[in-house]
Amino acid sequence: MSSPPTNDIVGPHLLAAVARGEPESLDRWYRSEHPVVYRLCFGFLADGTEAEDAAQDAMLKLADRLASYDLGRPYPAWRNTVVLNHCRDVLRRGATRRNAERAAPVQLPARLPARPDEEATAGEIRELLHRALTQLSPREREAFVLRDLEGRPTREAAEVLGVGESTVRSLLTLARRRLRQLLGDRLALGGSAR
Amino acid sequence: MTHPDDPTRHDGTSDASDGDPLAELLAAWQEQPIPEATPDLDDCDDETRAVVDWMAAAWAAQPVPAAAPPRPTQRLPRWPRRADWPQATRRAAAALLLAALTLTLLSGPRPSTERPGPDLTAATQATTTGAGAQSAAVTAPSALTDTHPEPQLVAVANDQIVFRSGPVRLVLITDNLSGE
Repeated sequence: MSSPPTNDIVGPHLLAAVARGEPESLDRWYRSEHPVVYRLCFGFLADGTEAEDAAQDAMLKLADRLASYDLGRPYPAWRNTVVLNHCRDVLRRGATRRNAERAAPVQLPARLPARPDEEATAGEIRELLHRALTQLSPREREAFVLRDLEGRPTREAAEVLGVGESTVRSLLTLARRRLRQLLGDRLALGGSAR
Repeated sequence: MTHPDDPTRHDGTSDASDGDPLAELLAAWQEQPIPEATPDLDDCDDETRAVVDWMAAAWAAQPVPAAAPPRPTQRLPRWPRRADWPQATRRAAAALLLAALTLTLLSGPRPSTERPGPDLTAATQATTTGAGAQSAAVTAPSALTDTHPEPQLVAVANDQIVFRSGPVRLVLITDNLSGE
């Protein structure tokens, strides 16, 4: 399974420097963290345009709250919790519009590119992800993004989501099943991704 | 699966002989192995694994829009600060202010007290006759010609107090005095 690009340069020293407001550290932290935060926002919201704004706002929230962040806690879990709560707020504000969108039938191509990183353009990848993720419920999406797409451990995903590990597994099962129903035939036509 | 001290534990020797169907059902249920809530991805079927792998590959390949960290905005002051002025400019401004203040103080009585002068009273007296004219000469111009700069207590009634400062009257209406 492909894993998203990770960043290992965000350590306690950098976080402490960012919390002190050092401009250079803030710049490094921002450039390192923004791609991760954007991907999370895109996954939780299933909307590329909205994810850009949400990622900017979430980065500002993270920067504000870094001063009160306990350096003894695992940073990814803390960051993901802040981003998730922000995205839930965004979802609540736009619930009506999103419900109308979800009612619309999903339009996917009959044949998916076997290797999206090589055979699809950036816009096509984003569109395919958007269409697939919108078919999941928000909770299923959150669990699927954290566990299967970002590769976070089940325990950490449960902590971020505020549920038990068994609940995370159940949500994952539902999400995988729904995606298999949606994409399985299209992948079979296009060949296995593995 | 069941705790040894669990009173509902079914060991096939004691509880089953009670004949309680609910207890037997509970005991049978407790003897079942705990099912895995959801198998890990490795335990999924090939099709599910392929779908998840495809999603993960697309996830890793998705473009991330470039973003620069926000810069703190520097607000320009509306007016140049006095501290930025040179020393000579500050001294000149202070001297100018002092001179203007001195000229204002030495320029004589204020315009508001000069406007209705005594000539107005004399003119009024000269053009009017009788008792009405006399009362007008006493009442109306006196308020206008008064040059007392300090506030004065003019009248105290049951429900109001009247102050005057030059041509301005201040009437304080109160109910404290009338009630007592």
